[in-house]
Amino acid sequence: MEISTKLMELYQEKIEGLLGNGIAPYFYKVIQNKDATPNEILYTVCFFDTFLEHCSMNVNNIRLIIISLVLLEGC
Amino acid sequence: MKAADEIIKYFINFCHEALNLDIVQSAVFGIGVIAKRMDQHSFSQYKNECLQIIASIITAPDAYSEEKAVCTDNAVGALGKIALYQSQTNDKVSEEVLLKFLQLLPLKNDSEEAQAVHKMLLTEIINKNAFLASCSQEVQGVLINAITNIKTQDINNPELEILDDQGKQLINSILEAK
Repeated sequence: MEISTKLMELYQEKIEGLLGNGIAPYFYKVIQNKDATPNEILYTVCFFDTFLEHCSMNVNNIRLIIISLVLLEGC
Repeated sequence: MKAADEIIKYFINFCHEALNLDIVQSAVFGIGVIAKRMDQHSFSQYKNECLQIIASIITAPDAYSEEKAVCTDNAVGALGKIALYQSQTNDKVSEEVLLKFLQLLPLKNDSEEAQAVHKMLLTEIINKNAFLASCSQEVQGVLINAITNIKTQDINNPELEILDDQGKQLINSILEAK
């Protein structure tokens, strides 16, 4: 979590594709998991705080990237 | 369903559940981040609930206890983002939200958040934020008071580091122009 948020802060556009497409779906699963530990929830919330704060994309348009990958992975 | 819509619902739930203070602090900060970046139409369905959550944090009897003060500063920051980015001109409720935010300044307990929130407000003033510019004379007076209080606090308690160098420059240019 710390690494991904620092990378986001430092490199923004260069890293946001990897974080949005590669890592965000996994964190998204964590917040859906009712058995997630408080630490897992905290790291996930911090990740999305940083991602949504620093990503160059329009926040209103991020849906397809994250959710479609979660669905694809579940197929 | 949009990702930001999904995530803000979880943030709201985490604030309600209050599993631990760190989660509440991060979740309420995230509500502010989304308030800043989401369009007003989309955010409108969450605005009232977010304001209720923020109110419950900042009006708690122990809001500024040693344990909770940092979380409270983050809630005030989220209130500020709603006030500055989710307000409509000529709307009484929007003015009330802004007034509440201004009355809670300066932030003093979380220097990182204090610097960011103060700079956000100062930048919006410099950039002539449409909502701020449309507010009544009464609100403009409270705004100037809030800025003066930030500067006074910064001068009297430099160890709190509530303004970074850019914030200091912005506040000086605003106050010199008045």
